[in-house]
Amino acid sequence: MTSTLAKTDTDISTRSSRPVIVLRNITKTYMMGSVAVDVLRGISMTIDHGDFVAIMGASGSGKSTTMHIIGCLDIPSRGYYWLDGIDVRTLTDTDLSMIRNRKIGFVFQSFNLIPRLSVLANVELPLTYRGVNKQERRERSTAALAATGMSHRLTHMPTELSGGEQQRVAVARAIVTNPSIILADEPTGNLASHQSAEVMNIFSQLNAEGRTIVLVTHEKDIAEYAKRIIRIQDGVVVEDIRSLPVNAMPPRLESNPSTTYHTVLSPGSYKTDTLNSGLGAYTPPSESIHRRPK
Amino acid sequence: MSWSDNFVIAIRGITANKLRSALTVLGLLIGVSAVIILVAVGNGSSLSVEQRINQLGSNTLTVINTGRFGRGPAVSGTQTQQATLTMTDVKNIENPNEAPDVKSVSPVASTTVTATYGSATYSTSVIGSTASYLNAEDYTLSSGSPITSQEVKSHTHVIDIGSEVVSNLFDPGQNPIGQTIQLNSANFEVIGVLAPKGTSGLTNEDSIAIAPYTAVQDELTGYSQSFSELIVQGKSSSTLNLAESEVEGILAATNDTTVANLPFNVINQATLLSTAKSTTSTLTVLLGAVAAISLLVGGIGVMNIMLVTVTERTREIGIRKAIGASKSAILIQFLFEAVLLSLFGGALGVAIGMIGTRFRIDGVHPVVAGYSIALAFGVAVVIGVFFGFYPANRAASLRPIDALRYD
Ligand SMILES: Nc1ncnc2c1ncn2[C@@H]1O[C@H](COP(=O)(O)OP(=O)(O)OP(=O)(O)O)[C@@H](O)[C@H]1O
Ligand SMILES: [Mg+2]
Repeated sequence: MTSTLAKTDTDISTRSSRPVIVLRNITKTYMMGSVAVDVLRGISMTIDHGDFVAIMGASGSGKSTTMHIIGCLDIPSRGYYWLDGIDVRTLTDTDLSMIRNRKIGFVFQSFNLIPRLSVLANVELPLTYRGVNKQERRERSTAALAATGMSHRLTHMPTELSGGEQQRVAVARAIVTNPSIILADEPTGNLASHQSAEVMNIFSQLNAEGRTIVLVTHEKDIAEYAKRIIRIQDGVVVEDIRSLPVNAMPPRLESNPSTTYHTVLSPGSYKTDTLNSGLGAYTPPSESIHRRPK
Repeated sequence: MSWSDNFVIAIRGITANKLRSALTVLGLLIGVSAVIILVAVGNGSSLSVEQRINQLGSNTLTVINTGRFGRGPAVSGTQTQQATLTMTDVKNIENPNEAPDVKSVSPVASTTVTATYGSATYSTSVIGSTASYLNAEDYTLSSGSPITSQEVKSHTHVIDIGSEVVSNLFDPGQNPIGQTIQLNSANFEVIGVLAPKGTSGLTNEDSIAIAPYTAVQDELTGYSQSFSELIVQGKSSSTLNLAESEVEGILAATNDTTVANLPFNVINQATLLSTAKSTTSTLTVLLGAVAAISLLVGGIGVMNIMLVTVTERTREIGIRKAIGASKSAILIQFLFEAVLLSLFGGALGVAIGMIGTRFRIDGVHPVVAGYSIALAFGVAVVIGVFFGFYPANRAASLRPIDALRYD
């Protein structure tokens, strides 16, 4: 049942694809006292640059654990993880911070906003750590919050927001840095259907720009936004179904969406989003925007 | 990241947890100001004790009649004789061959009298002595003239009076010199006014009158030839101990006894001063120890607050790392926070300490010791920075997911 990605690649795309996430036999074992609990029992997957993947599975199957490992927030007990061709085990703590800041946007299942900072300050924070100047920080954060429909709550504290609103702030914080990979752990879990559609449309737009999207969801209709669905059960991949090729347009991208999120501010500023040194074969996704038929 | 960004993040961190920040500042503030104030009080009291002892006069020995021979149990029959200090003792001690280190001897016949001028009365102590007394006891005159040896010899009823006596007997602005006052019922002519000296221990040195001992014995005390004490002035402070043994030798010889059994107490100014100094330095050390404990308690309070908030802060650190803060960025933030808070708390403590030491505390003028400021401030900053930084450093070293899960 488990399909390896090498097979998928040859099956679906004749174009030279570039794997951005490669997991091989990832296991994660927690020690509960003296009892070892195997949460991941050999996860393998290959995700190409520009893919849109939905991960599904029962509660407790290990989806969040997998996402944390992909997001460089956690390390596997065993197995290999190459990110953009680099074995993450060789990276230092500082390298990993840089990757989390510039390459990956992560939406936590439990949002993880900083409680004592305003909505705007929370969204600005990744840009602050990247060294973006104040004015640009403000502009990009307001734009990201506008895209997720949170313009009316800029100065609120996270505790003053509903669950759905916190989730949309978390999405805004993940996309504000224009990351080339977006990892979203149930990003629509607390949203009403029209809000879900808006958030999913943002992800579709980002994917249309060439960004890689991996999201966890329980809902069939959210998974339908993706080009590929991976099912996890008891810590192993049990199903991997591709509905569209990697370089296809995302299936449910609205041609004239009510909210449009423009990530590319200027070619110059986009250049700073890339990690040129130390991380090998990464090229700015803007390249693929031009390649892509529109 | 620019320094101003770091600074803004640190300030946000401080203002986001107002209560924690305020308590940290308070803990440091109390510790620092307590050290400064308590050390200053100890310092001030030892200085004032020194000053008081110095005011007693310079290089003087006081021979006090204890009225009884020996220090052992009195054996009845053999020691009924009352020992007295007489003019013979004065003459013997004044003899430069027997006591080469003695500069002068002033006998004291003192009593308390009611002084009257017109309708005003005032109770004052009268010192009957010789001309050398004023110098030995560091009295100076603000006006008029001192009693002279001639007046002592001729039993003249003249008197130098202290400033309190003047203010209690005379109207303001009235010149007391040349006026005649009554001590009990005897007339004395005021010839001088003593410059104010302030209080020394239990005696008010301005509520005093000095007259020739001859006149005092004639009119007021009643015993002839006997004195309550002798003020012996040494030639210099370095030879005061020599003068002391000379005086004790002479007194032992005239009273047919040994120095150990002398019926008089010889009080040495220098010994008194060194005893007092060691007592007050013990006091300073004690106060310093109390202050150090309060600084320590303040420090533990700071530590407690920092550790209590570490759960919340560890989650925050986890979030910051998850969105791409490097360990060094987090450390800089927390170091900035800790430094700002402890500098602020320390500086506020110094300010409050300086204000507090401007007030008289229990009769003592605190004297600020420079080392206490430096020490208290330094320790406060070190405590604040360490306990602000150490938990943050541990949290920043965690993997983001572990920091996020921390509780
Ligand atoms: N720190 C931990 N220590 C021990 N067990 C853990 C820990 N974190 C997760 N687990 C266990 O690992 C399993 C997988 O957790 P995970 O969060 O990956 O599930 P999930 O698929 O995301 O579920 P859900 O859909 O409910 O979010 C769960 O059974 C959970 O109890
Ligand atoms: Mg989960």
